[in-house]
Amino acid sequence: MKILAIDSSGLTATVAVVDEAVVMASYTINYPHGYGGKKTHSQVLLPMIAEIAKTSGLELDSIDGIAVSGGPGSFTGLRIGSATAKGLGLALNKPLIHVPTLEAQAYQIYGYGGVICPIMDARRDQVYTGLYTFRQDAKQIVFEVMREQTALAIVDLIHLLNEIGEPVLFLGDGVPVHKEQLEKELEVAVSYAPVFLNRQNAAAVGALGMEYFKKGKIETAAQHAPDYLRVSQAERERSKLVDLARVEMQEMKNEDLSVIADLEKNIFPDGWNINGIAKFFAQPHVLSLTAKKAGQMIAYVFVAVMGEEAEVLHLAVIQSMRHQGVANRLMTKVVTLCREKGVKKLFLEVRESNEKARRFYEKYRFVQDGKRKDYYDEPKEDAVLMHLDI
Amino acid sequence: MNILAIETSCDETAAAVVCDGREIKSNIISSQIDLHKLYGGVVPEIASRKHIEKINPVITEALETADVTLDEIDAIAVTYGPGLVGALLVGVAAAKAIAFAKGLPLIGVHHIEGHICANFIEYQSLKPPFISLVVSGGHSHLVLVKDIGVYEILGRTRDDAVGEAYDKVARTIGLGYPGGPKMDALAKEGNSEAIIFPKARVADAPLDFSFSGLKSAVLNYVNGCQMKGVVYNPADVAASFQKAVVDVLVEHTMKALESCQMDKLVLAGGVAANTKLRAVMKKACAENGIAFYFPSPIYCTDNAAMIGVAAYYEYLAGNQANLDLNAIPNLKLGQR
Repeated sequence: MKILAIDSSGLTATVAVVDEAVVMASYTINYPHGYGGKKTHSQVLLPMIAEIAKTSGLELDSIDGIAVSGGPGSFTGLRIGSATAKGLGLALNKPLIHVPTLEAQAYQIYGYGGVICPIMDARRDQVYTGLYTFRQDAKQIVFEVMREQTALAIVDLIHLLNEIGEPVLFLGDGVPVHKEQLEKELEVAVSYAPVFLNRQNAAAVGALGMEYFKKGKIETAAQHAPDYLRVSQAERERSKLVDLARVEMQEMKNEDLSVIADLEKNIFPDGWNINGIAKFFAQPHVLSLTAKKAGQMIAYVFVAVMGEEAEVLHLAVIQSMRHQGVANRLMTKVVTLCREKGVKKLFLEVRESNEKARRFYEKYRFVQDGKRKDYYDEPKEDAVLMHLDI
Repeated sequence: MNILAIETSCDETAAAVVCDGREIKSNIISSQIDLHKLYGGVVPEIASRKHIEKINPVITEALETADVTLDEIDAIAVTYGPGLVGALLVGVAAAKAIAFAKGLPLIGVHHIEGHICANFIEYQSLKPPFISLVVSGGHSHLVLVKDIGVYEILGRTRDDAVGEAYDKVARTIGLGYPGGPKMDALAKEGNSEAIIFPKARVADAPLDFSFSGLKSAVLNYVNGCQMKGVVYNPADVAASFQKAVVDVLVEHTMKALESCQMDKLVLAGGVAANTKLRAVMKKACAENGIAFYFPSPIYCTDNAAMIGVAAYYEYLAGNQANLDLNAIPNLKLGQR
């Protein structure tokens, strides 16, 4: 069996022909944009395939399938590899094999029994990553996917690896970007793949592709499309808007209180219990609002109104709905209602370490007034005081 | 000679089989317009992703409709610019792979050259030299076509392309994307003399165009009405805007014909399907003794048949591309 393999998911351009006994030919250029001028994958990829075919005397018709590194990676890079593979598949009438990019990278570290963690920089403090390992059973060495490839915040990856608690070996173009943070925050033994194994390599794509092929995991050239792991920015922004439009804001009701008590426990280190909430909710000067989507509570706020002043006590958004403008809308509703009640000034205090909340209030034009020493318990911490004239 | 042509420069995935640069054996276009309507215009990343999904089925359909196999194809042609780079790259990579796998010549085609050559499909005896007005969502050019592949650009837009101005004005008056056909239809119900919009001219360049001033004038008019609480008539706005655009296009084209002493005019590009432009241009040509050529709407829109026609002449001229052919988003006409 003979597999032609292609990977142009990152800065590496790499092509290979693999059969069961040997890598017949491989051609890899790392950093095609950086070395020797301004070549791009579009210019180098097909000439590289032509070169290995010519020099190795490969008859194109003799290949059984075309393995392509199917993502994640640079959107454009993936499409160049994909369109090339699709064109070849169509012209040669051969099937395509979609090999997950990170899986093929991990496959290079053959036999390693710790956690193999390829990382590709995905920007926005995220990496594309997956977790893999090799296990020795009675007869053979088995490649295992511990966690399917995905886009993950680097802090979440660190948390996950610490939880697993086993030695980790990193590779990939995300290593130079995140090395410092990984070494600082990881509590497990960390090592790195050597230079000849630490980037995409079509030989590994081809070898793993052959395993896929044997299991019948193939597709037609027409069916193949990259797995970007991310929607386009335009779609992301649009779905945020559509989502936000579905959020309904209402006065808090009695039946909301037990849900809020659960959320308080998860969100605040010193969250209120149900009795505290119920007592507070019953007071006439308290303004309490909820934001719900499809009937599900996604955010809430408690505000104590005292004449011309009001204090924002707790404002919380559930984890999965953050960074989508929910808090902003809830706060705008608070401001509108407070104005109607004749309030001129909003106050609040926030934990000094809660930088995300502080940044949100600053963006909302709250002004910092000072600090209150050791205001919070569990853990003990200063409060930052802020106000907004409305 | 059968050429398989591929076009993915914007939001249409297209493939065609063209014989000897004249006979269109198939012309398959998969449009993404519905996808981009949601965003009020073409989103490059979404377009590129869709091209990847559609490219093989569209090529296969072009071959099947033409009733040929790849073994009966003599060359592969592809648009390599100008256009959206991510979109172009899909067609270029696929075309190169097919050409390589089948050992066929590869021909890179300029998108605008394709639009001009679309006229040869229906006017078999048309020959250069002639003047061509190329108007589309991305282009507004007055070109002296001395010979196929030999161009002199006489005038171009300094800012927005015609189709772009149409799209923006359409959005302002609530018509949505794509604006051209919708404005054209609405303008028929309006009074083109209702509002006088400025006809911008570019100093020292009598054949150049400028449409951003006109676009702003329409925006100001609509905003002004809204602020004053005056109800405006969108049909009148569309008709008056269209008149301002068409008048300038026709006027400059007539000037170009006169200064080059040409008696043939070829209309090309997506906006060439505009009924008002065709009508006014036709009348002006008749009055000045100019022979007027314009493609059917199917060959005005982005399509691969026109790429196959242009490729045939490129091939005859000995112009072939290598496997390192790249997509060039801002490719100039006549550049290689």
